[in-house]
Amino acid sequence: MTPILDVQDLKTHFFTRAGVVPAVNGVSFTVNRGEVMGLVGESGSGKTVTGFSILGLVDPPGRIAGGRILYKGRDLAELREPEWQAIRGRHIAMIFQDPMMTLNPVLKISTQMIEAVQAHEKISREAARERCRKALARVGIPSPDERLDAYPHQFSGGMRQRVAIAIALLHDPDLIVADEPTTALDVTIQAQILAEVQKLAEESGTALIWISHDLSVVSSLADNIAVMYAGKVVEQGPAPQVLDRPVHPYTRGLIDSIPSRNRRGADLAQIPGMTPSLMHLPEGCAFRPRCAHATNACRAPQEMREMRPGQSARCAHPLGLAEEVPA
Amino acid sequence: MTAPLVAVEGLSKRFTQAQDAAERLATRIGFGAPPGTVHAVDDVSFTVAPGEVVGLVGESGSGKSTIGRMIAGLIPPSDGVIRYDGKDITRRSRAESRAAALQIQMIFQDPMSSLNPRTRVRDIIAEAPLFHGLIRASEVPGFVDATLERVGLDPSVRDRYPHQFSGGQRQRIVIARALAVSPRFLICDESVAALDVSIQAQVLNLFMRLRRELGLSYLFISHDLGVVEHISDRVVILYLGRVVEVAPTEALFAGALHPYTQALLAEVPRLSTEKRRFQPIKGEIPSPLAPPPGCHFHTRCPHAGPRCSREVPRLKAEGPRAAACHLHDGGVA
Amino acid sequence: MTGTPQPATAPKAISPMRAAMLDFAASRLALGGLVLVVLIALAAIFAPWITPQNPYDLAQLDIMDNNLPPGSESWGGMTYWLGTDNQGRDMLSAIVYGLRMSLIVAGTATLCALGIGMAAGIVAAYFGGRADTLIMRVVDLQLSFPAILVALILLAILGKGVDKVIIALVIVQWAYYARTVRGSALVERQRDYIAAAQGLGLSHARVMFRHLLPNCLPPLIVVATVQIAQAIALEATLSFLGVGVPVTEPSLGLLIANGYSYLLSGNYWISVYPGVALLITIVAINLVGDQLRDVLNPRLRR
Repeated sequence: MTPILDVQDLKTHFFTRAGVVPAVNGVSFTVNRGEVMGLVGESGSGKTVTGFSILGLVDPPGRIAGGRILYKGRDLAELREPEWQAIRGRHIAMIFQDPMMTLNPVLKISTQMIEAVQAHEKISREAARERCRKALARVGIPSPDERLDAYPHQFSGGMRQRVAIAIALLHDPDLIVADEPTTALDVTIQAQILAEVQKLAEESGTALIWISHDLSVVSSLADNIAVMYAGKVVEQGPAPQVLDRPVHPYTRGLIDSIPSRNRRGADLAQIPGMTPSLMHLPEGCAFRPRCAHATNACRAPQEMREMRPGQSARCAHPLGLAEEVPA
Repeated sequence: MTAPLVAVEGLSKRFTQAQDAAERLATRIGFGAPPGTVHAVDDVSFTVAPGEVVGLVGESGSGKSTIGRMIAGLIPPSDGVIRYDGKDITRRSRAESRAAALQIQMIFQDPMSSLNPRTRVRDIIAEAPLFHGLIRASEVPGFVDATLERVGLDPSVRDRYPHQFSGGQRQRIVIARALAVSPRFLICDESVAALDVSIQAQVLNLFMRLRRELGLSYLFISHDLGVVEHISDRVVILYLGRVVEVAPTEALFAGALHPYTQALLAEVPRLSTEKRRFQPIKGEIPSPLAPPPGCHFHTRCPHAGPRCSREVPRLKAEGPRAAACHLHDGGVA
Repeated sequence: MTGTPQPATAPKAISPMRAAMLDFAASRLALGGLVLVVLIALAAIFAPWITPQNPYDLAQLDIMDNNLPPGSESWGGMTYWLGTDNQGRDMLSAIVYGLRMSLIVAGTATLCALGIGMAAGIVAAYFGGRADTLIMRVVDLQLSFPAILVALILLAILGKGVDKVIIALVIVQWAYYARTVRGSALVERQRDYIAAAQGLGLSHARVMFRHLLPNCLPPLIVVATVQIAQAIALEATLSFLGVGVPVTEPSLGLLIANGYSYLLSGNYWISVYPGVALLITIVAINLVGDQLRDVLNPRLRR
């Protein structure tokens, strides 16, 4: 089965006055139809820029500097803006952390949604409006017909995010990229949105890339997880496997720092140090200065290697494996 | 039982929408709507014992930040009393209450905006103690170095500006600034919410270490139940400005009494190795301008009954636990 | 292991000001403007040493030399590079001295107006409520009148003289600074470091002037730069109208006024050259101000 999305060695660099910032520096993963891929990382890992690169939304001074983004065999990195118009919103959609990045505060919801529908299909206003009404109902918005004529400020934060999700779903896209959509929401509202998303992903078979720093949220949604650090994927594989038996020390460290994984009141297991500046990366493995298992072998550049069936990582001293992988 | 370090009694805060002259005139005549009042905090009472960490949990509109700011003296309360060490510090009008209030310091959420971008670290830390005469000018360098080391920063950074530090480091500087005036009570208002998970762990460990070393007490305001569970001795749960439950941490997380707390605990994403189904409670958080009558939660509560929309439940204590729910106070009929 | 000492992310301590200056230098146009401004200022400061003649010293003037075209020779062998005016003043010297007068008047007035306006704006923003309403209504009142009108009325009351002109300019301009400062102070006031400073028990005065004000400076610097140019123009206008600086110590405006009547008879140099000098000065200052605004604005949201 051809994957919906095949990212091969993606590099997105920012060419600033102070130097080149390799925000995404060799990221590869695939997403199949109906799969949920969790892209996990902290600030500076490059996960958001990866998401933006997939949709061609990287603004100067950044641009895609290498690699391929194959969507159904077509390389998105090569597309020019007019070609993007046909794909964005129709076949690949994005949901942002702040729903107000999707919604125009001075236009009614109906205006915006109908516009989104008619941008890609020639159907009448009434038919478009009916489609929008169904989309709103699908995401759990009560009285969708009335709500269509409301303005964004008349919705709460959670409702706005649902509207943004509805807009993303209008054309039944093959792939949705969601960048931290529930981070700013309250716990109870987040749970509602996650429940909706789960249901929708299962019903429609849309592939989903869920970008987040919250491992717990991702763990409940994703089929596969890719963990990013300093612009590269350092571990990826099926979610249960990666979370239960992580191979890369960073993944292990991330999991261990979560408070609920530690004994109450005891010091939390923490990863010492901080993420390196992308312009001054250490040689070899970027995580080396913070890793308790680092040796001289880690000064050599590490490639992604399959450590267990389906699970690969970029590490000279993977955890929990019987044999040491030679440097 | 030791006397509490901080006691909050019947604390309330109401915000009234300010009307301009035209609106006021309209209201006088009878045309316009009367100004909306938000009961951000409604009759809240709790205590913090010396050396204790109390977690204050709530979602948007719960009033948790407002409570923190009132205790810190940044917002005047509409009603109620705040006591520190037995002294009434509600109105910071007398010099005595101001001096006592210096021992209460707040650690804010956003490390980017809690530091003056034009001040060097050493001045950030030394300014207040110098101003209050707690240290002499000659003692400043040693004092600054010692404080920086206490929060886990290398003293060589004393001449840098805030923008040169990461979020986690800035939060440490904020903590250092608070420690410089020798506080006994820290109010942490979502202090780790803006930090990455691995940095959050570092800062939380710092909080716990300082508590052990300096005997500090905390009011830990957060929406993140995982963090609260880890660091708090007791937890106070808020919903739309009212206290709905109070309990020691272990007891609360083993079994909550109030339906809202139960829902909150059930919906917190936990790291699981399998996909789980979310079963959220229905409905939106009501607007603080028009909260439901009676029990604020009854519109979303699976156990609601007729009494719940009529009568405000009282916070009924049973030993160290308390819950504001008719289910435990005579039934919902 | 808790609390490992950690190095900061950047190697050197670059203050926000220094970073802003480096950004400023990126625009060649602005650098050019800055160079020009510096040259003009230097010329004004060193006027007595660089000009062939002191045009304010009546003893040095030879009334017989009046209205000579540019390039003419004087009795004493000095070349009048830009001609002379109706009093026999060497135009080049008069322009340089005039620049000096214009800059002194405008500079002093701007500094005083800045001081008063900053204090008023900060107090209004910090305390809010009635203080804010009172101060801002006065500001609004002031700004609703055209500057020229206010200046003319004031000078009619105060009389003539350089100091009166400065007073008039200060009164006209302070309100603009007050409003600008209040705008950015209202925003900065909400930030947590102000609340923290108050929580640390610092006095109101200290919080206002040590914490709030320095972070409201960038837009103020931009406004001040442009306002200096405005002040120069305003003073020139007033002098042109005859209510500005005294005739014996002309500023650029007065020079332009003097030569106005001679424009049509062909002695263009008496008006035109001072006019060009005024133009160059104002443009140079505006170039600097424009770049400053671009450079300092994004810095605000660091």
